[in-house]
Amino acid sequence: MSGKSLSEKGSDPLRHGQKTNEIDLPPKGQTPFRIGSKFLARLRSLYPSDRLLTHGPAFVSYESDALSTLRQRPLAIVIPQCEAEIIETVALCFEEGIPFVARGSGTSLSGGATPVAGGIVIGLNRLHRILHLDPAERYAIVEPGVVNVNISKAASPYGLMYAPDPSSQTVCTIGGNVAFNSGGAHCLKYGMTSNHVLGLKIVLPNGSVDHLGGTSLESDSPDYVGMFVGSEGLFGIALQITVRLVPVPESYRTVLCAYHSLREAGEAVSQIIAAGLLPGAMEIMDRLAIEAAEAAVRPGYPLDAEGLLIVELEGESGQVEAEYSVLSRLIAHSKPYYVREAKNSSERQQIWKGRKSAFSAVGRLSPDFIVQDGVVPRGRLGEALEEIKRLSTRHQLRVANVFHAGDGNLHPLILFDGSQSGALQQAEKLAEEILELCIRFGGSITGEHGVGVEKREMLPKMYREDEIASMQQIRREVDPSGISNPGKMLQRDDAVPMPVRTGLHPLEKAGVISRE
Amino acid sequence: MNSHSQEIDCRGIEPSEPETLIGQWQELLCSSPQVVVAGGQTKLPRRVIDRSSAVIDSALLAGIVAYDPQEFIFTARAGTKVADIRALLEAHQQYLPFDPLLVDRGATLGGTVACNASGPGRFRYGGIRDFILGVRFLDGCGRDLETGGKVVKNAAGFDYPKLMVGSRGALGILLELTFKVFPKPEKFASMTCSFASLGAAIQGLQRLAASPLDLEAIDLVPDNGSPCEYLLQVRIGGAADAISSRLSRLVHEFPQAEILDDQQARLLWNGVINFSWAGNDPVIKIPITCGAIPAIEEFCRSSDLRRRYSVAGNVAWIAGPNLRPLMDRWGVQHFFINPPADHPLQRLPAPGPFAMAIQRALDPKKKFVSL
Repeated sequence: MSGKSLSEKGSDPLRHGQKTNEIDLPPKGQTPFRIGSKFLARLRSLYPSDRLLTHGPAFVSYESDALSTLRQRPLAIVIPQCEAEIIETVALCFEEGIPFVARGSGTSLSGGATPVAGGIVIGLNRLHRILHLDPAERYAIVEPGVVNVNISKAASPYGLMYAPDPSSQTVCTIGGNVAFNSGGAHCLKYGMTSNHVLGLKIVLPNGSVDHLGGTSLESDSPDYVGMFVGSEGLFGIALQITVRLVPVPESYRTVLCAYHSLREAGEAVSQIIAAGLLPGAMEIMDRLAIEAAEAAVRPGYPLDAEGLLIVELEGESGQVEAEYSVLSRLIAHSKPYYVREAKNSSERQQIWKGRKSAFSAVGRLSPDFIVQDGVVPRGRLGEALEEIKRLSTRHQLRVANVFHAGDGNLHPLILFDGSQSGALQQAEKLAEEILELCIRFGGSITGEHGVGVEKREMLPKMYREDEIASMQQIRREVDPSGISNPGKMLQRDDAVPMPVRTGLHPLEKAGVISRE
Repeated sequence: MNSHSQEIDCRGIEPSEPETLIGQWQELLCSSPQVVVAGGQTKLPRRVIDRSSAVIDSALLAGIVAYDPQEFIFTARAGTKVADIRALLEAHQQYLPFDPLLVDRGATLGGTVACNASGPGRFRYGGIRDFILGVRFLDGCGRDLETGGKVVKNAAGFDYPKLMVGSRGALGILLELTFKVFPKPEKFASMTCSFASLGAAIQGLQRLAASPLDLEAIDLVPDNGSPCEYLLQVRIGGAADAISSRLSRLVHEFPQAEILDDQQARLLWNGVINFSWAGNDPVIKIPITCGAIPAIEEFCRSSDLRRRYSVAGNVAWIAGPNLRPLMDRWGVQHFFINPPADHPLQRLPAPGPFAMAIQRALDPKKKFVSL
């Protein structure tokens, strides 16, 4: 959380645009890993020069992921085109003791794909084939570089889809989804990535290949697939991923309700849950988030609302209609001052557009912001929001709130101006206090963004020493040399530096990606 | 390990509090025998347990630790009877949608997790792996680990709760488990539909499973009355107002379908969940996809083995007096229930490197016997 200052070398992207030495040693004292010209020479024997980068503009774009304020210059970047190249690369790294970071589109919000000094980045975007899609058995086997939404596109002719929908789904890759167990607005009913992965072919950090799970929904061994998913790259790289496909819901009912207070919106959610309804999604935005979304994409949200609630029912039409009549009663009872129902698919998209753009939209209200991701028990949402408000006042920083209300997953956005001295530290302090509040309420420090580099100091606050020791022990057994995405989730002494946060990722500014 | 089972009373440890067990576990770690955890013994009775192992009986380690109906989450000790949990949830119109197995025979929550014992309802929203949120367990180093979380969404740290599903005692001693639950549908409805050939039945099953009709369960069974016919058994659940129109829609897809009345439906699904169809024979579970059904049927047809293809063709349950040839053919390692007296406890294939690494980390002294 609290960042160390960026090393001078890593902070200046321009410098890396210049011709650099072939072997770029990391700043002294940052890494225990040996770096030899022998390693690079061997790497060159595996890759042609256009797929092995050690400098240049393309190289710079790999220095950070969507947590763009964390930057680290790697030794080299390789772009494999087939599975065999990945395996050979990992085996080589193992022999030479060189750390590697596998990366897809780099949309991690927790710094999960931040390079390691003295290590290489393995860019997997070219492994983007859907190897097999079986509509009758309802699964697909895909390579790690396949973009999330492309699985659903390929499955749509059969009336099927891949359910998890992180809001970066048009660019994020399935390999990254697996590593970080990505969620999305619609995981309330059908779960996150882990609930939709049936099997994996993986390469372990020592270069050996293993198969976990299969194509069946059931298994007769411990759930090693479940253990691998969400392990943040510490257990190696997924080479092939078998995902479950589900039927596209027959009908949707999407309703937008505006309230004069956030508390009323929260109470409506409690009522909906208590009534036994199981919506596909339930989202709340506060006034600041509404303002931002409206400024960015004009979804037509009522601007004077203090709390905006989006509820979406999905499923078989008869069931959805029956649920809708219950929902309508509950909503009327919750006394929103404005209600809008999507009458068709484009109106539904319009309602979602504002919500899905909310994170990047906040960039219009503030030069800098921190995206947080924490979970509290659903029944304590109101209390948590009040507490966040209190903290926000105390720190004199504005906080916009966007959250998956159905599962208690908060996404406070802390606004600050990085050009003011001490503002970043203040914002980070607030972020930390919000996460501590989540822990105190019996929740979690992350619902879907993962621990990554960003929250590794927080993990020991959520778990006790024994649990952390056990995680480290598992990590050591799977990766004795600690070369697979080191410095993520679990702390290291030679920590990757935590540089200054500077706001939006260039892709966000261009409107290509947005944050959940 | 070589084992020949006998009706003996093994060295039993019967803790009623986790703290007692933690102390006993520290002592056991310093002594020689391996340990086996037994719960309700609905799947593996004590008689099959090797005499050299110490038995930790978790049946007394029971009780609901926390249940907040508004959060749709409960935490219970491993020895808690699933029937007790079911009753408690029902009082609040909630349920575990995955049809935990052997509930009426006394299955415990810990055994249900360790044996990954979910039934036909697993089709709709997922199985045990999809509902488990947290697990407290003792590992082979003597650590008391509280892993996962007590909220419905949590991406912090490794996913131990899922790892414990299907671990069959090999990775730790389960103490407490946290689950999310779902609102129970107001009403259920079921139908059966017969097909003149296996091919037609599988086609019907796959058509239903890929359709946007929200089905709770789809099972396929050979029709006992006639050798070539197969039956699909389907259950839906939801709002009372919509259930009959939804059922008509389902029946419309299959004109030969028969609607079951509530009594018939209850009998059918209770029988499935409690394996009454298997009598006292041993039962094995084979994870499959539909594509494997014809070969299994071919193998079984001339024998006296009974079959049920559950969870839309994702699990084959097979019962009969002699399952060995079938187990050899499909590489099945475990009996699910009623293992025969001469059943060796461990017949495990060489685990892959990932599994081995996890086992080394959680059980470095090889104290756990996998059942």
